[in-house]
Amino acid sequence: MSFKKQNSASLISHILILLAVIAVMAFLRPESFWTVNNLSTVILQQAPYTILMAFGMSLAILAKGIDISMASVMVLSCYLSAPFFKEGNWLLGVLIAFGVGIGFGICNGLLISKIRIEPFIATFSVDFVALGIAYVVCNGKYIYGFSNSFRWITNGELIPGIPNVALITIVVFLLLLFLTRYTIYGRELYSVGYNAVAAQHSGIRVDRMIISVYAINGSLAALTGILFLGRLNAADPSIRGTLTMDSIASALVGGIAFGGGKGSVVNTVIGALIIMFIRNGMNILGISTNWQQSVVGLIILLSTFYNLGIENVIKKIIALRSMDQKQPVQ
Amino acid sequence: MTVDESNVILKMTGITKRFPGTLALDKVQLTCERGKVHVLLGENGAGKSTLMKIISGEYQRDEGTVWFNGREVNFTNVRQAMAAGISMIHQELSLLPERTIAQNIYLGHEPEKEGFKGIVDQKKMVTDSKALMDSLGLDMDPQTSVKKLSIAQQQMVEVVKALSQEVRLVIMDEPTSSLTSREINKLFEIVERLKQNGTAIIYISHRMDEIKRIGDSITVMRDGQYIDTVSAAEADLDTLITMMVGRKIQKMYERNYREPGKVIFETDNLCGLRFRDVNIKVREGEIVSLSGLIGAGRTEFAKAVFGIDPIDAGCFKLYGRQINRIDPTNAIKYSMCLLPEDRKKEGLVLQTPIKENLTAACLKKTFKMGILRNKPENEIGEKYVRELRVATPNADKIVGELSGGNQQKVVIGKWLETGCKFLIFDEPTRGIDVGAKCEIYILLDSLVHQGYGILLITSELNEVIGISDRVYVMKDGEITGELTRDELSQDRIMRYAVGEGEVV
Amino acid sequence: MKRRIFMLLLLVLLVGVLPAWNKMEKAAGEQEIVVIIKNNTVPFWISVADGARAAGEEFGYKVTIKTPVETAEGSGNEQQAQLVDEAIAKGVDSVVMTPVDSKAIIPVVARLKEANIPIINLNTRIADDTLYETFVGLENINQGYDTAKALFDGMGGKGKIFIIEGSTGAQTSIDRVKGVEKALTEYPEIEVIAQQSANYNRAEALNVVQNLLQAHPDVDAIFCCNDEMALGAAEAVDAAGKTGQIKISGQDANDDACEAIREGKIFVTSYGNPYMQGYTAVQAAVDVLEGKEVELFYEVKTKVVNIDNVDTFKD
Ligand SMILES: Nc1ncnc2c1ncn2[C@@H]1O[C@H](COP(=O)(O)OP(=O)(O)OP(=O)(O)O)[C@@H](O)[C@H]1O
Ligand SMILES: [Mg+2]
Repeated sequence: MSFKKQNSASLISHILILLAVIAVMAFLRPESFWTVNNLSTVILQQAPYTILMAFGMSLAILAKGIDISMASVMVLSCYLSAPFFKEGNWLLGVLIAFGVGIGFGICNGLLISKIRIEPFIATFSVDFVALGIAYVVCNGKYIYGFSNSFRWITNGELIPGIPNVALITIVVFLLLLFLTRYTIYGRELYSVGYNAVAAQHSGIRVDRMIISVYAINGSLAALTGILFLGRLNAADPSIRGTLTMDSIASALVGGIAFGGGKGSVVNTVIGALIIMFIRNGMNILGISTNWQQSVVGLIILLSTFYNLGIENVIKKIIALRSMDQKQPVQ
Repeated sequence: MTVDESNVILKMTGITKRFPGTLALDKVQLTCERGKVHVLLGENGAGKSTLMKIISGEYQRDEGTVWFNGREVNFTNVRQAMAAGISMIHQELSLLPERTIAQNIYLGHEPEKEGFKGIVDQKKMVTDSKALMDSLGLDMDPQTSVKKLSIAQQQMVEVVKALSQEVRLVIMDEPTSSLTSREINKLFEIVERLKQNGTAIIYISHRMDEIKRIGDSITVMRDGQYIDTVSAAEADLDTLITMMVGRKIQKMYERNYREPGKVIFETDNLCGLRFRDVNIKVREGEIVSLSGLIGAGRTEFAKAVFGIDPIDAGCFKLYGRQINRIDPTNAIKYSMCLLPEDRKKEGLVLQTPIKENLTAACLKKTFKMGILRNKPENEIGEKYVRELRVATPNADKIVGELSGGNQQKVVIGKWLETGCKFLIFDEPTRGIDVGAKCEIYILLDSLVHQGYGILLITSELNEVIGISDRVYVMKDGEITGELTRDELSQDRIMRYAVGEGEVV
Repeated sequence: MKRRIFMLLLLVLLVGVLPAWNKMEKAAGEQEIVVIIKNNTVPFWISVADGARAAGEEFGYKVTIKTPVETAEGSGNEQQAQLVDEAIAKGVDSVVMTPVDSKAIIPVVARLKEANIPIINLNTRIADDTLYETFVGLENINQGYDTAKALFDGMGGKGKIFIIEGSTGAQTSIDRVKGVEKALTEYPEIEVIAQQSANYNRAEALNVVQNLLQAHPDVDAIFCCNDEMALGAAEAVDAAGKTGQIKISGQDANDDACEAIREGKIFVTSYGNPYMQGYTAVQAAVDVLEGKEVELFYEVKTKVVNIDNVDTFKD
């Protein structure tokens, strides 16, 4: 495909970072880090939530935006739908969760595309609104204790050995990969991210594209929320935690550039895994949780510098190889 | 051709530059003298800009030597070259749109407040740039932000910027591509003055008529190779073109006129930003030009019709359909397209391959069921690379890496692929070499024979006269005259354009 | 254009709503006590607020609850300072204060004293004890100590534990951990094998405990500085299939933690009686305003809650 040349360079370099993180940890703590159990816990149980949220963040960034509101929208949608899941009224729960998620997403999209508020400011405000509503609705009463059949959505194993949450994440990943890479929608998304003016001149409806991206984010937030209910067995506004920061970090560390248009959901997965393994590794090493924030920040910086350097080197190698295969200028 | 060695300021020999998949320069040489204009000629993609960027420190050469002002130099960045007295006016505009004219002119060498190191003296910057622009005969407010300027005005700001400090060598890479004869005259006066001051000038243009007017010597390049250097006085245009293109071009403007068909586009007192009460029509099988000075409102008109800018009042008819409001998506659906003036910002997604740009405006038509597939896209890519002779190893090349003229060909290809029958072309031959221009004229001619209707906005009067069936002239947003093919002359167009009416 | 209309609508909305809101505030009782607490989002503080309001009603005072939007040390303190200044400007009669940051709040509270507004310190101590009339609260150290002892006893007096701290720098977390350390001196066979913060956050605690279990699968118990983290830990232990094997303790006795005690997922927690804290603080403020003698410290007693008293501890 078309983005291959550019993207494989950035992808390879970020896979290298991931491998380096894993290698360092495996070297320091082979007995507890380098075990099937630990690796699968991180990849299959912990990472999916960050990955799902980071998918949304990545789409927004690819379209030259950002979505600060995702985590709060997730909290709100899972808070509003939780009572129904608890009662066993699943259909209504799902409808409410996705309704809230997509509703807020469309709201973001309208603010950004129609009223032309900067994406950061628009979603930042919506973040407050959503979280505020969640706190009001919650009023200090956590919803706790869901049926096992509900929690099966998250923790069950439709395919033995792979928790459903991981399976769902893989499905979402494949869907998004297909959508962004192999469909007109994806092509238009990248065009808007690279150069919205040119996209508009080519007859692409830029406004609709932006609204749809944030609507997808909203539904990803809703999905994550439902899965989170199953994992935590509770709805609690504080689960918002560091998810926003982690998903931005995942996109950046994975090599999705803030300028828009550069990177793919594969980068997101790599980025999220890097973040999760750092957190996991530092816990195992017994380093204070507070250091994790600093280390994540440092990794973002490093990977940005590193992008500039190593990516060019890799690009050159790829370019040299491709030069041999192609004919000279006519 | 003889060179006065003592007068030489720049001497390049054996310059080679490779890009991935492309040998852009192959042992090229160039010698420039003080107080002389050296013209660089070559087709799109011949390597002219690349050679210039090596002088200005933007690119590094792979082989060869460069002497400047008596010593061997190796500039590794633009600053070094600037410090040595080399200034470049870029083919592609490179101003910062959000900044003011003054800030752009002094970008990188802002005057400092006396006694305060590192603090920019805003006042001095404004007065200095005003003075500088006055001395060059330009009337612009230095505090306007650049994004409000037309492309031509931006181009002039680039010129001012290049002259805002002590220069020994000025490189002008297609400075006139978007200027009309008025501004061109002004520019040539500036060039004349620079020559008298002993400044050397390298001048690149695809407008052959300019070359003999201001050139002293001419170097021709083709496909990254040095062909020859001749003195401008002795050179003859046909020979130059043949050297450049590698074949003979019989006739520049190819037109086989035909009887126009029904009206496909007609405006009814259309008003919008910077134009009002426009009543024009275009018929099937017609090339209609919209002529006028820069800033007359022609581009704004085109943008409103295509749905980029709003229509304030009036309406227009397109293939019988009455239209009061429109957006680009629908415009394309109704078989209209606009080749925009600024190809870099509006026409192309520079970071993506040629073939993706070619299909950008007709994704739904190209890909069934919304799924991208390689085959149709590759076919389209190959087709236009071949038909429009885009200088590239293949259609996978990133558009931003193409030479300026070849980028323009890709934009044209994009619109041809949509199959739209009413084409608005805003400066389609801007920056395109003679050979390709000639091909585009042939193409336009064949299109109208297939029933297309073309509204052409161009600043080149020769072009207007050479290929139009009819011409409307616009001045300050209003149509001031309409000329049929028989009535066409430079004089008449200019009179309407500056507002003197029809005084013969 | 669209943007302008939007802004206009917003403005109209504000202009319409603000005066009405203002009137509402002015209408109530004569003497006003402002209660500034840490937040109004977690069950603990909502109970505190309930208690405070109940006392206000009972004694015939107007009680206004104010909370910062953010609870992080820096910005939370900033916002609390703002709330204090508003109270001074409004000329309220007494302020009940729970500082987000015990030290940084000192100059702010000093302004209240200058304005002759009596201060009741609630729940978390202000670092300068000359500034307030009395302190109402529990001893977090004692609470941690009691809970830890109950946990250690449940372990049979020996084994390995994790300590999951709250937000770094939070006084409650520091004190509760101190309580655990005090208890540890009495149980020499209990060993702390890991100590990490999970920011009082359920989701974070789940991941942290899951990760720690990888390094230390042989742990016997987990001491958590609040219930949310305990519940996160419980899910991690559950996922590892070790519910019941690894004993977990929380703090605060929230409803969902009590539920988890009934399910056997949490072993023990501790009731800080937030309602009583809020109530007592307002009562103390009323006493000060009415010129009655007040003591220097009203200790609200905590209660260890486990499977035996989970249904009765609030009575
Ligand atoms: N940055 C780049 N990366 C890769 N290839 C490049 C790059 N810049 C230029 N080229 C290639 O080098 C060749 C020469 O380009 P150049 O821009 O110098 O042409 P030019 O003579 O200025 O043409 P034009 O008249 O169209 O401006 C072209 O084939 C172009 O595709
Ligand atoms: Mg060029």
